[in-house]
Amino acid sequence: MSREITKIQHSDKTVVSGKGLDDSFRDVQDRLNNVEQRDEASPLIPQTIIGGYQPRRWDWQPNLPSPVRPQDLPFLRHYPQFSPEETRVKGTDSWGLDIPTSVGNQYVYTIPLRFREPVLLTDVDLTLYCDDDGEWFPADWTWNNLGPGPLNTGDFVEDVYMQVQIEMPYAERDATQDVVATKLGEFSVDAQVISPRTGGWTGGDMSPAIDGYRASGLHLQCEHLNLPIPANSSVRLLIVLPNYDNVVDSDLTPIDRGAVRWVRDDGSGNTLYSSYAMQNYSWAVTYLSRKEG
Amino acid sequence: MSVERANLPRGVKITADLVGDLYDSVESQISNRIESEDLKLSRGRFDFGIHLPSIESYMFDSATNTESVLMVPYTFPPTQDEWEDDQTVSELTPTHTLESISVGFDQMRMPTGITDPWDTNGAGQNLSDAASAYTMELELFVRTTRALPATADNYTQATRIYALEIDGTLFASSFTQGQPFEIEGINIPIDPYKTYFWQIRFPNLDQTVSGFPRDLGVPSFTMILRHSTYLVSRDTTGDYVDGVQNIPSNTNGNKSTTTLTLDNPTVGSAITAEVGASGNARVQRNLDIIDDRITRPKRLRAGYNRYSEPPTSEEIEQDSSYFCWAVPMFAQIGDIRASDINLIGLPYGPQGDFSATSWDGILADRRFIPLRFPVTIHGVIAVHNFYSPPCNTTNKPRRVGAGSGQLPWASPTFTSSIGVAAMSGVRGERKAYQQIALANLTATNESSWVIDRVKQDGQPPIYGLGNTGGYDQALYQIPLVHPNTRTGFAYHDNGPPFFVGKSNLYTADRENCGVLPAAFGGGAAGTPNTDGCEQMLEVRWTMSDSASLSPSNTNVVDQTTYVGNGGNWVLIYGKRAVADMG
Repeated sequence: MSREITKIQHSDKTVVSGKGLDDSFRDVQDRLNNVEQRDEASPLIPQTIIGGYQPRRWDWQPNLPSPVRPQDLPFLRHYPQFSPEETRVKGTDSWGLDIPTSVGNQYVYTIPLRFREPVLLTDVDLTLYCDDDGEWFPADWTWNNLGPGPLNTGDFVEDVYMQVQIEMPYAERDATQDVVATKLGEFSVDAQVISPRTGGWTGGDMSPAIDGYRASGLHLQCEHLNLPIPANSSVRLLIVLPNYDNVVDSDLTPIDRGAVRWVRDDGSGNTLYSSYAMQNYSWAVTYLSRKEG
Repeated sequence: MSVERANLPRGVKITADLVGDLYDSVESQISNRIESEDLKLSRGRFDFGIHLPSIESYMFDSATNTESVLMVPYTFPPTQDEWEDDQTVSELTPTHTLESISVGFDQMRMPTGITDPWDTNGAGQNLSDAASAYTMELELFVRTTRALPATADNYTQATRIYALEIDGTLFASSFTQGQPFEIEGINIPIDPYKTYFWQIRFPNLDQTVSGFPRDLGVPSFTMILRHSTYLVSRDTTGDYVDGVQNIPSNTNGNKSTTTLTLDNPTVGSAITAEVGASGNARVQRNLDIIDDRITRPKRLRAGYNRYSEPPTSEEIEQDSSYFCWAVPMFAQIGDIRASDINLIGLPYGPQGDFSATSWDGILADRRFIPLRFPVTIHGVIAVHNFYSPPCNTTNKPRRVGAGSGQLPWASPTFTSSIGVAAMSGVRGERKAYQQIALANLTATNESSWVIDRVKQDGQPPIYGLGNTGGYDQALYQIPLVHPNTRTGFAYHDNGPPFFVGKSNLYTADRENCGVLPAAFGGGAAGTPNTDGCEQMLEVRWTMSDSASLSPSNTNVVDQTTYVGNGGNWVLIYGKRAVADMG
């Protein structure tokens, strides 16, 4: 039954009138000469916003005044114990990380996006590039000593988070009302490596070569999300890395900073560079937007 | 092709041909596919994102009374099938329209200022009540001429076509917090043969200007430029003499035809609703067939799914739209000068060496782009930024000298290399690269690849003398791979379009592709190294000099600028089809 394309129905044993035919044929003609979104199975076009950067390393800048070790933007410290900070980043507790009163226990890189029209957020990707042998970007994210909680020597850290928060249009500018739409966290990072750290390449490197270092590190992904983003929404992608400056074990005993290979110190208890400075970043947000009329 | 029919006014005898005309017209429209002019959603869309991870107070230093500005140049060249060698816009030239922009940065979800990395009392700190220092100025310019090699150079010819000043008090309210925000209704037509550039200023970040006790920085500045654009048919192998590289071989981009079989009314037969044979028109039966094909659940299909697979039948012809990605390179560590090169925390070279007498490292950066939906790359453009204005070096130890920057092309051994490749093996075996584009720019050949050179607004420039070399930024075409020289499809030699996207069992077999661009090595086309398994693109940019990037090289001075404020960009443009979600 052609119930949708036209309301005119023709049946046997009734007169097939000219007007009835004309009306139903006009409906077909109008429908096909001005196809509406409801009749298109694929009215959405993918869009991708790309960002990232390569961090500078303050320990390689010997002429800086000591003991100033500036922290780089865009990573900012997170102070969950201070209002309203407890709502800026939600649900990102880390194993055994102490929260001293004066420093945050996390670094957060926040990417703000604004959508005037509704879109469908499909994928969020984050690549943390590290060199194969760790010469320039040396993170390998393992514990050298007993880690906090159940983590042992050689275990991978579980303190990385990537999440999408939506500032809903009917509860704007109030972080307590932001929706954590998706969260990737509390996982052992070795599940997210791009591939085995060394070897396994077929064929040559791409050009230009960078000291022979090819793709390596972590690739975090939240895919097939199909998150509907309402019109006039602000969406924030949060990349949360741990600050291990004051790591404690399960008994809340401070752990030597050298216990984890995601922060380096100078052997005298001074942090040279923190977790955010030990890898190169690439992120991408993919969403589907409607075609326009 | 639209559906056409003869009207059936009251009193006209209903004959078979009057009914059959409609059937024939509908069959033809479906089998030949519906054109965009018959779609209510007849325009495409592409969003162009600009992301700067760190904007710092020294970038707008007014201590030398010259001030400075962040510039982001870009251009949206036509796809290869739309290219016109005379580079003029006619009524047939597809164009875009900038409709709206959104702007945002990280303010920790509070009406606060964030201290600058160079603030001597500590960076990244929350400075309450300082948000009013975030007054921002955004201006969009269009270049009125192009500095191509064959024409007279005039780097500063530009017209301002849009300006926006947002007072910092918008970001200082605990209730509104003002951002991210969006400006609608801009509606600026974009000429595909012109260069555009944004000038971005935060003039009050420096404490000597704002009056606040600390210098401020702007973390994670993000702009999205939303464009309305034209719909086009997706690329097929047959569209180009040299084919489309790496396109799935099972379809070569071609669309499968939908056949809608309706009745053939015959003269003299009675017109019925449902009973009878094909000659009786069986009106209701045929209306049901049309309804079933067009409306839910089947609907009219087009595009590619995530695995580069089109629908088994497609009824819409123009299913693709223009796209352009802006990939930031050297963003946070921009403004790299020869005199500072060993002092600013760069990898790939000796570290901690106070002496800049002979630094034998290289400059390098890389980005990774996931291929969530397939695209066909038509071109790559490198935006090389040399904008390095004077600044007050007190409390800004990154800069040895206070003068303006100079171009690096004075050194005959300097090389700036930009490459794009597809990559496979993420969380899997068969890790491989397939080169897509490459250029090794030197002082000898860089003018052969230039698209435009840009000087910031004003004559003399309003915002200080960024680079004494005459221009502040240059746009270069980076050719796609191909064995032979190929002209007439872009500003310079360029390989055929290059398809990239994930695959499944049916789409893994791909057409051959080149090894390197003809001008940079060439090589016979062959099976792609990624074997249809690409998952990401990798973009790399390196700079090197066999005689050293440091002033020990007699052709380099302290002020030689390798990367300017805000870093460089790689623009990747082409076509992207609608998403077939199955």
